[in-house]
Amino acid sequence: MHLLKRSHKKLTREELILRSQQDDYLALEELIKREQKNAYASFFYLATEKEDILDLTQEALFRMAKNIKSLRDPKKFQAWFNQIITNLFNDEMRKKYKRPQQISIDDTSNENKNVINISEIKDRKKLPAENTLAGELNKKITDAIHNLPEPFRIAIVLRELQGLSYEEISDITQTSIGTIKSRIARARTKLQESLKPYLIQ
Amino acid sequence: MQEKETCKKVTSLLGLYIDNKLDEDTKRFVFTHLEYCQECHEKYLMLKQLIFELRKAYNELILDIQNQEKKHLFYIKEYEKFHSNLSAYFDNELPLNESLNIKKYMIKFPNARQDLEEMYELHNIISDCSSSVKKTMNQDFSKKLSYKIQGKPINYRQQLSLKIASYALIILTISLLIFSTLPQGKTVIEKGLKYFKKTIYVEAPSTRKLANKLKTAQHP
Repeated sequence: MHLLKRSHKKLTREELILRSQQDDYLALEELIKREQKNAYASFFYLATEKEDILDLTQEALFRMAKNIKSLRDPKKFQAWFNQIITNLFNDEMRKKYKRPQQISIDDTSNENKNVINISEIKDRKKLPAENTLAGELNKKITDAIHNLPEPFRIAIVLRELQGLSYEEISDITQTSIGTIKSRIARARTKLQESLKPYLIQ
Repeated sequence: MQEKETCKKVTSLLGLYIDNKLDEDTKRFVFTHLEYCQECHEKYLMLKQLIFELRKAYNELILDIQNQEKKHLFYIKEYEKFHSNLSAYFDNELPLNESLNIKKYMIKFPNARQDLEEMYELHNIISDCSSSVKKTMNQDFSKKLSYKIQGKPINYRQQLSLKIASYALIILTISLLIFSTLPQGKTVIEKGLKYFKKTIYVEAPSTRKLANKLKTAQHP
């Protein structure tokens, strides 16, 4: 059993996909192991709230593993998996808008205010896990990406992190290539503006 | 004396006369004066020349400014086009002729290369940041998910090892029982017990009572 696992580690991704399509669960495990960090990073930049990320990652990986047999061309795995990620993210956003806003009952400090304290929500995402990120720069980059409007964020994450082509991105987001081109260009200029002090060395 | 006064009048009217803004009577008055007064006529000619030159220069200046603005606008537009295409050029997504245009532009204006370098820099810091994000992810979903898909319970592995251990235990006890029923086995077990008692007796005097109890139990 152990020896078999060893041999899986040396396989390329396409071979792993082909094997896991033939019910080789060890290959599937290896595939998940390789892809989970990637998915996590995507959700880290896409989702602005910290708690959801691990759940979303797990759900995306589960959907990927469950539907792996429907993938016909293993070379298109990257685009296909990112389609799952973005669809899941969009679903989640839709749910969030439908869900009524939640207010903590235990928090008595701002009982008198009828408005939800925005600073409280903002603080949350900068707490524990993000502090473990090395350096101020990473925080700045994350904030800059989070501050982009949603379509721009999706486009730039798919391009910069996942390295998809414009055609694949336009397929995933169901928009024209021209729109994607301008979105990425504008997202880049916005990021350059907000990160200007860190870019000039 | 009177002539000097008319000369003064005429010189003050000259500007309006040149621009043709006098009524007929005064126009005729100035005209007749200029006919015979040499001095005023010279003044008239000089003024006319001056105004003409000034207007010409002014018009040229305006035209020049307009041209420059156009040129400037052209440069701005060219730059905007370059900048909007640059990101696609960076991603290798431009058609050939447009990427050639970008290259030409960067040869024409070497400063424009800085924009491209900035884009590289941005790409680098984003990939650095994302790799450190990947490092913070320390959960492994692979086992959990593959068991979920196979329909096995999540603590499948623990259950499996428990099962193996229990089977091994059962086999061991059965083999011991069989071994003790054999005549050779009996002596071996007795020897083992004796050795066991000895070690307890020597190494742990506090358990002597226990050893005695064992002895009595073995030899009633």
